[in-house]
Amino acid sequence: MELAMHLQSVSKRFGTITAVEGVDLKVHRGELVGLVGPDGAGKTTLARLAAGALAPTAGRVEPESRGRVGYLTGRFSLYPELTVWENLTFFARIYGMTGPALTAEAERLLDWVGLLPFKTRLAGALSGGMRQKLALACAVIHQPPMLILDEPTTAVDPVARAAFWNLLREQSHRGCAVLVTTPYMDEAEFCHRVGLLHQGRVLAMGTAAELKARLPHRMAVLAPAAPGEKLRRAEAMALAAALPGHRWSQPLGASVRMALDASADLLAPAGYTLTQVEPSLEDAYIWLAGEEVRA
Amino acid sequence: MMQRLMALVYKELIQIRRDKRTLGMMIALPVLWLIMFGYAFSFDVQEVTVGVIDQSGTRVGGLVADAFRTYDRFAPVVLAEETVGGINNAMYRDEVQMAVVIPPGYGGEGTTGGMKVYLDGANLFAAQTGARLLQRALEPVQAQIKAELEAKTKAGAQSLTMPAPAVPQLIPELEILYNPELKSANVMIPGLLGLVVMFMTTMMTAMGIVREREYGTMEQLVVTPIRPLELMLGKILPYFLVAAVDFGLVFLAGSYLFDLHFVGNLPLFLGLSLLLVFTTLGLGLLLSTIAQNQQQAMQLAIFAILPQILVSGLIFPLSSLPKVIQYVAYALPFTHYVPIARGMFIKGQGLDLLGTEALILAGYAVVVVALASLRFRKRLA
Repeated sequence: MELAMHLQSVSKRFGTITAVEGVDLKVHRGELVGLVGPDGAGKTTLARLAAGALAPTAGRVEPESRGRVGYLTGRFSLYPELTVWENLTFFARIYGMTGPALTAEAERLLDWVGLLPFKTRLAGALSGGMRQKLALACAVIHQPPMLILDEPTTAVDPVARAAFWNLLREQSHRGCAVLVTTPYMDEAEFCHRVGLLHQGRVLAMGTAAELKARLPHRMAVLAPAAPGEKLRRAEAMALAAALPGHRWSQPLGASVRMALDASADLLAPAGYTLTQVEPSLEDAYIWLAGEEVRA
Repeated sequence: MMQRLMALVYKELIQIRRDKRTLGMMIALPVLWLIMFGYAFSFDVQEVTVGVIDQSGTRVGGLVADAFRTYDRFAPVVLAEETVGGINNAMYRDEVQMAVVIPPGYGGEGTTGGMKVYLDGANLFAAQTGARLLQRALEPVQAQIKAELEAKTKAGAQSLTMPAPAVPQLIPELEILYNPELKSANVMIPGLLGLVVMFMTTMMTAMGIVREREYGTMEQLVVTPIRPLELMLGKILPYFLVAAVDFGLVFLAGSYLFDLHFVGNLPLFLGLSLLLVFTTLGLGLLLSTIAQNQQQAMQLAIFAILPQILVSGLIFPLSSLPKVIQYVAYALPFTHYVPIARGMFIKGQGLDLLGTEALILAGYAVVVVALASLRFRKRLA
């Protein structure tokens, strides 16, 4: 696979705060790479470094991003006083497009994101999902080989979110290298590869399945045996912690999700059920982040 | 480069057109200021109320009293009590702004007593106008007495071979050289040109750039092939155009509404005004690197502009300000533009007289623009 972007031990410090530390990251043509992590993990800084909106304190980004990446943030980043069409053609002109080629490409992109009927609407009057679709069209108008998106779906409803991810997959299918940051673990499932970001470092990198497989524990859910019974949280947490091979547990709705040693037997306490479940990416994240702290 | 710049300028102009608040400010402000500075800021009082007490009993005294009572810019008021106490009382009650006492024997042989004039200092501008108009009110009487004396002398000269006695010209003849009608509009509007330009460029530029940052579009632009210089010019040029339009608007309004004639060298004036514009555009750019949001940008701009207006000599004469404030005034660029605008507009002065001001303004333009572009680039990086 052809390498589209290479971040080489990139670090960024703001004063005494290290936002990103020694990140190595490769994105290939046609690849959709996700960076997942909670708030404060360094997602935005990393995205800005990759896009060239920020210069790294150490390390390097290759090749130089300026002018050849499409960049989109979850924050509003359009001109609200300009119409959909004016926003899009403005960015097209900035990239040197003119005449009929510009018109044709802008129409094609608006059609692609489904905003052609809203050509003359002011960007300020669009819904969150529509805004991000327009922002995406603006970001890819110059057909960049690389697309960087920073929490693009933060203010977008779930239905529009799925539609947006489909558009991103289409971009990667046409050969574009796509790097997306997101705080939503479930969105990582849309990506070819996922990096787990924790306190400015990439904890692990791989497909979602690979990352989950790195979890050396079995996951289980402890729930009251009687259907519809309300969880007595303190009691359930205490029981979970007393189970043999208990690693960690956290209340989740009407149950407690917990990690147990792989060799441990599933012994449900009286009045409760204990069911094994598939590990999620979030489970893997909690484990890897804990390992990082222990190391 | 040109295409990217044009795209930026075109985009900005659409934004200006769609933003009703900005557009309103751009048009309403110069108009409002024109009215304020042209009409309302007139320190000229049209009519002064005058009480006249004639104790002279002479013919000259009577003529003078009549002249005051009939002069068209004096409104005669009959005093309830024809004494100094009565004058005091009438002034206290705001019934009269000026009072004249013509002493006994005024104008007669061997009397030296002149008339006494009382002015209400609380009505500052009325008092100043009244004092100035005294001369003019007396002019017809002066002429009449002079004519009578000459006629008398001529009649006497037929029998006697004596030269006619010289007529004493006690009242000076006043001739105002520039702005003969002493209209405040004539003095205010040239400075207003600079004021409008300063306001538009400083405030609008600062707000325009900060808005871009608020929208998050600045970050978008930084990753495009746009270079910092193009971005800077792209933000400056539209507001330069706005300032140019407002400059023209005020210039034309001054010419047609206030009958003001520009007598200087116009290209030179435009060139020197350009120096002010560079300075104020740079100032706006500088403020945009400090302000966090549009509201702050506006506050900062007002903070930067208001003192310049107050102490520049546009409204209050510089020499009337305390020494310390005068030093502050000379440190501000606008102070050096006001004499240029006035001198060129009314008197047609050239660089031989305004060279110092022009040089200082040019210095400001260079320093402010350099500083602003440095900070602007740094802020982008």
